[in-house]
Parts: sequence; C-alpha cells; structure tokens
Amino acid sequence: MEQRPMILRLLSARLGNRDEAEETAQELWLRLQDARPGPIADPAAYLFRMACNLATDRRIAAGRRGAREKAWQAVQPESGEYPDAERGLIARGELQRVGSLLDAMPERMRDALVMFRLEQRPQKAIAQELGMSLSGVEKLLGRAYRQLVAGLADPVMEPAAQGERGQHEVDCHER
Amino acid sequence: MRLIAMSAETHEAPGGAMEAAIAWHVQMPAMDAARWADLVAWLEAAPEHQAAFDRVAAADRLLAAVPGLRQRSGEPPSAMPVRRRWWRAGAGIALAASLAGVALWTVAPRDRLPTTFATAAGKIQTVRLAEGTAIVLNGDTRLTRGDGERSVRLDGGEALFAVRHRADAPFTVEAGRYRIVDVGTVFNVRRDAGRLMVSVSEGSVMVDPDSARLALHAGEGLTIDEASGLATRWKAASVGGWQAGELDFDRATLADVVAAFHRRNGAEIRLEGGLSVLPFTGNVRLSGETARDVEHLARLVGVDCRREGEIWVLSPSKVRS
Repeated sequence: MEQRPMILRLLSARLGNRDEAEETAQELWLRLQDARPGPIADPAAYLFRMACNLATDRRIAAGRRGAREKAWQAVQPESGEYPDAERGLIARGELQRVGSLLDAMPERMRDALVMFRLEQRPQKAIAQELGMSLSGVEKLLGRAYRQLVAGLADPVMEPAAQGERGQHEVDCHER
Repeated sequence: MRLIAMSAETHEAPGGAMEAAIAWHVQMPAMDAARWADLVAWLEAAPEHQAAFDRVAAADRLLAAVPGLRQRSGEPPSAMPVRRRWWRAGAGIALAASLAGVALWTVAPRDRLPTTFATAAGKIQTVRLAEGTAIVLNGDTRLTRGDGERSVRLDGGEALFAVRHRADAPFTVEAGRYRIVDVGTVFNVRRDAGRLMVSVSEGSVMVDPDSARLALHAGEGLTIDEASGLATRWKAASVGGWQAGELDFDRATLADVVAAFHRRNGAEIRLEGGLSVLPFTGNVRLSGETARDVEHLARLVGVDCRREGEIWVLSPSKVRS
C-alpha cells in the first residue's frame, strides 16, 4: 500500500498518538481483507475515508469512556464506509439533539444535507436537484454543519422549547 | 480557501479553524489522494485544527446515524406515499419515534415506523433495522417490514441486505413464494419479470429452506424462474455493485440491461425491432448522466439511439446490415 505513510500521518493527527495510529492502521488492513468492497472509483480516496472514519470512531469511543456527558456511542454502519456491523446503538440523547437540530433547519438545508450525507450524491447533482449553483450548495452545507456543531456544543438543549419560527407547522401542512 | 497552514505558529481565530474543518468535511467525498495529503498537512499544522476537525467529524458521524434524516421532505406524494405519511405526522414526532430506537420498536413498532418502503426509479434508499441490519433499496423497489425486525418481504425490485446474523433468530426475506434465510451476512435479492435472483457477497444464505434447501455461499448466485421453479446457479462476480453504478450481466439480454438502467437511474428506454432478446454479457458502469449512459450502451451493443420526449429508443442499426 503506497499510501501507508500518509494514512499513518492522518491517523496520528486525528488520534494524537502514534501507537494508536499504528493499531488503527492495522485494523484498517484487516477490514480491507474481509470487506469485499464493490467497485471503487478511487481506491486511495476510499482508504483515506475509511481511515478517517475509523479514527473518528475511536475518538468518539475515547470521549465516551472519558466524559459521561460526551457519551455517544459508535453508530450503525454506513453502507460500505463502515463495514463493521458489530456496532452498538447510538446514545439516544445525542441523536435526539441532532434530530431537533435538523427539525429546526429550513427544508432546503435539510434536503441538501440528506442528499450529501446519506444519499452520498455529488454536489453537482444536489445543485441540480435544488436548482442552485454549486457554490450555493457548498455554502448551504457549510451553514448546515455550522448549525449542527454549534447546536451540539450548546449545553442546554430542550428540543420542545426551541420555538423556531413554525418549523413544525411547515411539515404538518404538507399533504 | 486556505488549504495548508504553513507552520504550527499559525494562529487563527478558533472560528477560522472551525470554518476550515467544516469546509474539509463538505469537500471530503470528492477528495483525491493529493487533497487528502493537504488535509493531513492542515491537521498537523496546529492542535486547534485537530480539535476543530474532531468536533465536526463527531457531528458528521451522528448525522449519519439519524434514522429520520433518511426521509427527505418535498418528494412528490404519488411517488413516495409511504415516506410522505412518515413526514406528515410532523418531523418532530416521526423523529422522536425513530430516535427512541429499539425500545419503542419493540413496544409499538407498527404505529410509529413505516412498515413499507418504496423507492421511485433512479432513487436509492437505505433502511436500517435494529441490531445493525441495513438494507439498501435500489430504485423502483418496494419492501415491507414484517413483525419484529427479523423478516421483510421484497414485493418487487432489488435490495442489498447486510444482515447481522443471529442463530436464534435468522433473518428472512420473503420474495413471492420463496423464502431466503440468512446464514451469514451480505446478500442481494432481485425480483422482477417473474424471476428471483439471489447473490451472496459475504457469508451464506439458504433459499427455499422448506423444500429445495439451496445453500448459496459467498460469490455464488442463483436465478429461479418463478413460473417453472427452475433454478440456475451462476458465479456472482460482483454483488450489489449497482450501489456504485456498476452493473454486471452474465448471459443476460438487452431487456435485462434496460431494466437495470431504469431501476438505477430512472431512464425510460424502449427497445425496438427484437432488440430485447439480444444477448448481453459484461459490465456497464453508470456515470450518473443518463444521456451519456444510454448513448454509451447503444454504442457498446452497436444499435441506434434516439430520443422521443422523455423516452430513449434503441433500434437495430440502419448503417450496418
């Protein structure tokens, strides 16, 4: 694997610890051997993405062990990206938080996020579907992430008491 | 955009690091190896970069786990009646129900979660059941969830199953008069045009466990003609490749190829002049641009291609005899 040194650097930077980076790289190679991934357009990019995901899982797990209020668990596998199905369920509180943050988003922002993150569609396709420019989509996604990160950092979180201008009504009106 | 901070002394406002971390996440799916190297350099440049990236990555990970997020708003009601109902209850309620997770599912699964999932041609949807089982629905597919979380019915179309195996409660897919029981993990089921096709990527499954008991292992495929019950085995080179737009055909016909196109990218293609029975073996890789893909297919099999409104028409080539 010609990318190995760079993958190790990525893991070290994410985990802040060379030993854990080595261990994670090992886990990555093992997974590559049992996962028989389908056709992959850019194998190097796929490796980096997988490494980055594994590092995030480890960071989340470490946070969970460390601080109780950061007790979010590793989550379900995302198709292909997280080939390990042996994951626990997500901490309910964290998910509820994300859920209410999503509820509070304007519909277009949420749609863009769904297409980007879950349907994994290229931004060009998202731009087409939403009738926006490419840079518009990029900005919209940026704003969506900003709201999420800020909302998750916010220590007080009462989903019902948010009073975001009639967002729920908008959804209820649809038929 | 700033890509590489030159040294560890670079001091940015914390907001700057956060903005950059978000930008990295937004562009991540399109990054090539060189860009990843840029990201590594950026991370290495400052601890604030690492901290900011860490926060965004954690939020991103949670995002991928929210079940309600899969139900997109604004779909045409006729195409997505089921999803629609799901949202109509109010995003808050629907989300709350799904967020409550397993506990709620076992208490009142049928009231709050959709039992039927349907996709329009060209749309893919991922359904996650409890216990780490994920089902990816190809376009033009309809799937009904059974009682509990261990059985589904594929009414029509195609789906890729990644099942967490439990010996005490095997996962079952019902398709027409056949049942498929997992003995392992990842498999694909397609049901169309009176045929049932099963292929296995990891682990193994048992098709028709009550009578024929056909075991299929990784790398194997099976086609059953539903009318005659005739089963044919084949070697499954790629399983669920349609997810990435990779379509694989072995001794198929052009009609099969056109059906697979329709399911995956929504293209309406009509075959003229007996082309539907034209034999086809090989792979087709979809680019995501329908026009390009249909024209590519036409060139590949050496037929003429024209457009009639929304429909593509393939007909025998007039140039060659």
